[in-house]
Amino acid sequence: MSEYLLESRNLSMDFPIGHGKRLHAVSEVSLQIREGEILGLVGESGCGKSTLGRTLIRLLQPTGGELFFRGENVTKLRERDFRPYRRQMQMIFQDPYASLDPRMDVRALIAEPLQTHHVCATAAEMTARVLELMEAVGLPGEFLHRYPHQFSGGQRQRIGIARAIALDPALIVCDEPVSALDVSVQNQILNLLKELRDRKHLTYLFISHDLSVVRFLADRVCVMFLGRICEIAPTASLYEKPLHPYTRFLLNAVPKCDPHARSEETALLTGEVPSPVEVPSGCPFHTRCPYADAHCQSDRPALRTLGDHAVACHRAEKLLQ
Amino acid sequence: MEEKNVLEIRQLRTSFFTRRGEIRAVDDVSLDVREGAITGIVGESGCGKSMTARSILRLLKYPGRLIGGEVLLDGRDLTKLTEKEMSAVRGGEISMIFQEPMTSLNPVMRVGRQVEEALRLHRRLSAREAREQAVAMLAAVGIAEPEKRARCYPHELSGGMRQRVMIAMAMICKPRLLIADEPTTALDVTVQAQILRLMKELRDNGTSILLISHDLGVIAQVCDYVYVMYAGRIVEHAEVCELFDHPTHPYTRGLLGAVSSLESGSNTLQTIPGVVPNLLHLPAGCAFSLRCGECRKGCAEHLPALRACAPGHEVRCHRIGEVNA
Repeated sequence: MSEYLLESRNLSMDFPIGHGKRLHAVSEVSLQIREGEILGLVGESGCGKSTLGRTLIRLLQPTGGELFFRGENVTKLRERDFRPYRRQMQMIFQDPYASLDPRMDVRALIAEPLQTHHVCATAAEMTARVLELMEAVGLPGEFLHRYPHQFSGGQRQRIGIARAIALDPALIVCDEPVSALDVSVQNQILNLLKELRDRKHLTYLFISHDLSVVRFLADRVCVMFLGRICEIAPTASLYEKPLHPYTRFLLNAVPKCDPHARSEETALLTGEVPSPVEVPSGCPFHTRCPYADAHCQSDRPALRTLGDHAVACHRAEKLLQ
Repeated sequence: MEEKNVLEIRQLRTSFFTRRGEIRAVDDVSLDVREGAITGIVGESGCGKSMTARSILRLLKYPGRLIGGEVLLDGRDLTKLTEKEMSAVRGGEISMIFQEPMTSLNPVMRVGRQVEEALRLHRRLSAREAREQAVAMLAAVGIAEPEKRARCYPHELSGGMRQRVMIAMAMICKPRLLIADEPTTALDVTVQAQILRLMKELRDNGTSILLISHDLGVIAQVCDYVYVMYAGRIVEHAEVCELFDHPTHPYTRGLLGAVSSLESGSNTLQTIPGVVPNLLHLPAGCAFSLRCGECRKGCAEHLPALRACAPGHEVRCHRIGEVNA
């Protein structure tokens, strides 16, 4: 068996957008997710992080590259043969308002995955399992027959989490699960996700644009820019010693919750994110990077190991000094 | 130095009259916006911060209604003005920018023309003068190639660029006050940092700003003075460093604790138990009593008044003095 739970090799996801053009949402991503870890995936809107999350569990069929689940190549499996793997990979969505059917009550919502995969033999067994799941995510059992509109955003997200863990999956892709929530409630959900990981030995791919949320939860963090990985490193190391210039700008741009530490002089990133339809030659970041030289414009940097980081930058060593 | 207020809100009340009862979105809010400073209102969704801003400009939609209080702009009460007089205030003396620039811009009108619009409404200028001023304003808010961009439609611009256009529209008539309602919430962090820097430049050039945000980081970085709202009421206000150094209301302390436990990398995050209360069913007393760890007998029955706990620092809590941080 492989040491990785999920691995992608040169995974790409393009979308045709008419006139013979293609939008390169994810390009040649090679990524390993280890059993039991929380891998954070960060980047700005449009960088391809959600598309990557969906492609990794084949909610989108990749247009290039290969996917391995516990060492087995699952890229080209037919839907019927892929089904046992589906049970192992679940997803939690961002918007707890849009992702729950308003006409289903809590029991029906949480029972849905159990029915799809024929897990419970009797209705009584099903109800017992649903109640068990509700308890696990901190929802009182008396809410069993309530409907989504009767819940707050945080409680709805708990329903979404109960659905995701219903089948005892190995991997959960969490796509911005707390972005729609207020801070006071956000932290309750983050604590719950962490506790569930420890108790049920889950593995998460945690997608977020919020760097402080990822810092709390993730064991390793992967930074994306324009469909490609620019840096992967253990969380503490990435936040303390970012190597890729984009990672540095991203970390510097987070407003610190301290009026005494105002970033008046910090250099800000200028310009705009290039279009994923016409990706710049060479390093995709070179049009905004203050350190870019001729080499960066012509040659695309590969992801290479530097200490405990993997970084896609020609000049990473120079910038370290 | 004597502090002058551009805007003074006194005991403002705004309610929504629904079939299920009266919702007090803004309940007895008094607030000062100082000249040449950034005053912030912070709170979670539904706390009434946006409704306070809309009440200032009387931009309330049915069934919302302003039912009491005064809004004094340089001493003139805006709640007493006729609708026609109010139109001259909106966009002229007070202007506002919103969270989502795409929905606030007209998609079928070139952005240059949208920036000129306020000028032609409020000042009698020739088309050429208006065009020149609009282009100069676009340049002033940091848009490269302003002549070219002025001829673009909103969909041709990025989110950060659109928000700059919104700010240009708001600033074109040199308003006394700029109200910014979550101006960076829809933007990425690197673009947010650019827009926040622009807001500080506007402030340094003498613009008074009322900034509404749910993000304590944004508030800490740009505001000079902060009001914290909860369930339609102001629960605490102070100068920014005083507020972050000595948060006193249990809600403010909970919010700051929640954010700083994220930043500090602790193992379990600090939370505020429970959920934001339904505004239809608020307790008679302190609205935070349902979630408050310091709640004692009487808190839920009697409404605490705003009381000073330090110079310029007021808190709405029965237990100040006892539970000081």
